Amino acid sequence: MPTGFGWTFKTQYQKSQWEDMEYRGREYGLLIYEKLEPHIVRITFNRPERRNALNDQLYNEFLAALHQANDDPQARVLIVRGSGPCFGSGHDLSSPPGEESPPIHPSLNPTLVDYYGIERRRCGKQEDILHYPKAIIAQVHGYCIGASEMIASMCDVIIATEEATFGVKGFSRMTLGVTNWPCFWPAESNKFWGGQLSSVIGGKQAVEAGFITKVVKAEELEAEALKWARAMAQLPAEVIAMYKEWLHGMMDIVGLGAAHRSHYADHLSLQYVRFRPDEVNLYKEKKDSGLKGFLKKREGSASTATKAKS
Amino acid sequence: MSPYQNIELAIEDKIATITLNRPEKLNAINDALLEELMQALKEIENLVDTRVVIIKGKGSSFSVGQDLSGVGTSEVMPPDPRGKPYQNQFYEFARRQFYRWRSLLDYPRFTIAQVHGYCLGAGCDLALCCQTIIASEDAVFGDPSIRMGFAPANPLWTWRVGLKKTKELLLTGKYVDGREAERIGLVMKAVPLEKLVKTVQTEASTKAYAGTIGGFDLQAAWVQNHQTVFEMAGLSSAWRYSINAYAMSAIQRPERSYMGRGGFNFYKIQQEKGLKAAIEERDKPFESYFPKPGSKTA
Amino acid sequence: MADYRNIIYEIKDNIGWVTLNRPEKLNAINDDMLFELDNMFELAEQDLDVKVLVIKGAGKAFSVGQDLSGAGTDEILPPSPRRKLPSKTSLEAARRRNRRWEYIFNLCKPTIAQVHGHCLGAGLYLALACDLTIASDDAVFGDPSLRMGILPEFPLLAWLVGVKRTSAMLLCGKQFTAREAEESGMINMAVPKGKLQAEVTNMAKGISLLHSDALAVAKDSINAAMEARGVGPAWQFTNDVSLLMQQRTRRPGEFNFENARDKLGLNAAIEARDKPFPELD
Repeated sequence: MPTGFGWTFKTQYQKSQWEDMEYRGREYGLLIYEKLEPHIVRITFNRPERRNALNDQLYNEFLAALHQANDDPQARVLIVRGSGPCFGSGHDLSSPPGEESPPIHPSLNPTLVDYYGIERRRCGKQEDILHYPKAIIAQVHGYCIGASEMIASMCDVIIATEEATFGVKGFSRMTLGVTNWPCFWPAESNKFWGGQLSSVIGGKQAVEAGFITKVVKAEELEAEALKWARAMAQLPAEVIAMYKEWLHGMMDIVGLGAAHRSHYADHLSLQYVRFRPDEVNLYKEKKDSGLKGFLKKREGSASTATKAKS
Repeated sequence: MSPYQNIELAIEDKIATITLNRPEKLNAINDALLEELMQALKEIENLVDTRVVIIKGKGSSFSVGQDLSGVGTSEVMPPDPRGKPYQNQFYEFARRQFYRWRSLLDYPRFTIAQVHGYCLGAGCDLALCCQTIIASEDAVFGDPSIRMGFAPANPLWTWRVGLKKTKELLLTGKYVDGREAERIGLVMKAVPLEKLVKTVQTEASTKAYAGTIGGFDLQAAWVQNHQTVFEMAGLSSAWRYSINAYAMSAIQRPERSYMGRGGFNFYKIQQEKGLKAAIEERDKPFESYFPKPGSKTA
Repeated sequence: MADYRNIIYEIKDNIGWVTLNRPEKLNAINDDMLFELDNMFELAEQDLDVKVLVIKGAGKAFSVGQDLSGAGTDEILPPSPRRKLPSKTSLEAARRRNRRWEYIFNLCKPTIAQVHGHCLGAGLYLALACDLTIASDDAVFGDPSLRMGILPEFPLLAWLVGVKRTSAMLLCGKQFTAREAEESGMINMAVPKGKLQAEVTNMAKGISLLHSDALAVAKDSINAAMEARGVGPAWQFTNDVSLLMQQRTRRPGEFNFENARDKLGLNAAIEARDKPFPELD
């Protein structure tokens, strides 16, 4: 069973997921795994009809694909992208209750301990991507929001189109992915600290702020990602692994690891939110008018706010 | 009858506005202004519905910083070395400063600094402790501490504009205008002066009236977490250190320091020629460092 | 000044002017130059006549980094695997290399790097360890360390420009133009080539008019903000991972710089090292 460079299972849960999968020779249902060149593997989220929304199955298949690439002694660089209209639209909000991927359902009424465990595991999955010993390039077009944006920000390089959209839609002042917490941001992106007027930013802004690596025209995206992959693929696998160990080790020293964990602990506050009479109760909206109504109301409340009192 | 003379406080529904009100002194911060500012913030905090606080300055500037007149300024300036104060006075002064500024950054409501004209020294510290700064393009930001012989006391510069720019601005005492401030990350947005008020109002309304999915509850949780992240990255430690360094730079007795050895001595010139002349002589060798602010009132 | 042969050191009007002086080698840093710099920094720190230091390079470049000729470089570079040194020696050498940059970073006088042309590897570390870095618009910043199989021994880059840009430079081999370096917070300013000297002189003159005491305390206080964030442990951690890198298994077929240099000569070896990497802009 696995896996090179000490990248191993952190929990029994992960291990059992892996054992269930038996990846060798197996087909992935929701993603595509390709070996482009001896040193380059490409993983494509393959739920275009759902805008590559992440549910438990897709998330676990993604981690399984990472394990597969890690076990391949030739592979040095991974490219991750989404099929269809976008890179990914975050958690699949229509997932059934009980799945770990979506935000917690109020109807579930979990205890604090249950919820805490869920968030710990969710955090661990993202950390696994951050601590992955091989280089990963996120090739981004369209939406890259919510949990998908988190996944991208865990990658070493992000190449995006000019029109790509990063952030967490509908939240004002929510920041972009936790590796982008303000105290770890390059300085000129601090204008996002106080909460810019929009909670999502385009590709061009993101690269200027240092959140992503490069922005290109849509038709050049694939070639550009491959170009960067080929550059990194020149390096011996161990050099890449130790470089990443060094970089992320230093970031941990600064407190990024703790910040990351505190972000997930902070999700717990979602469970205890109470709406004031003049606020839009969006969970109620979801129950009454379904997912579409919920998303619409969420959009609406953000834009109404901008119009009000101006 | 308002209890405030050095500031004005206006509360409209969910937005409170504090206006620094010493326009004839370019809103120089003295003990009285500082006291009233802290008082007003406390008052606002007790109003559970007020979500956003805008801080701005009356007249031609936001604030030129600490009042350097030496009168009624024992909380904003370290003890005057000529009075031969003991060391503990410096450290206690520094400690009060630390708690004051740190708690301002930690303020539970969303604070916006609306900056036009000069925003220097303690005025800049005040703006930096707000969650966001929106400025006019010709506003002037900076900290002249080093040219006064003091180490700058605010570590937030490195967090906002990065190590290189912090050293450039604080080790030289250079100023930047609003446009440059936006470019380097010091302010969120720089707009033409005539658009400043509207831009701030829009931002304030967005935060006050909608914004997050979870409403004000979620916003509050987020702010708390945000503060925790900064703590984990060492902000308070850095702050303590800076404040102590500032005190140290103030403690040294004039006859032992560079001032005593014939270098620029602010206090001496102030005594001989007055405050205005002292400031002029402080700034004169560095004229190339200063963008000129606009003179219109916002 | 002391008999330096690889640097020039002059004090004028309270400004210490330091020039890296191996222009025929593009100011590649070898042990001799390194030891002269060590000596100069120590003297300058204690010299009351020096209020600020400016470091620049003679000739066409600031510095192309560590001297890769293989001669007289036991201090500046990690030991060659061929030498099979005891761990204690490697460890001590790694500590000294790290501490050197830390020492320069924490020097109690302000330092300004005046950069033109290439600024690579250890040249980059020197330029970034200075408080202010001012470059001409033809300057180029990069670090080929990982391509040489050595770990970059300077942690500050990630703090200055963020992790994405750090990986672009170190992992992907991207070279930053002066403009890019300025925009990303790596350096203070990029100025037209003809104006570089004047701009730096103006900056240095301004600083030389200020109180030494206040400058020392101010710099310490600003560096402390980085310290509080963990820069100190980061230097140490860099040290440790650097040693790990030296211990790694070298597999057949991997690019080996020393072998390439033996076979093809220095310039060809450098070309062989860099050529396979696509130009990333």
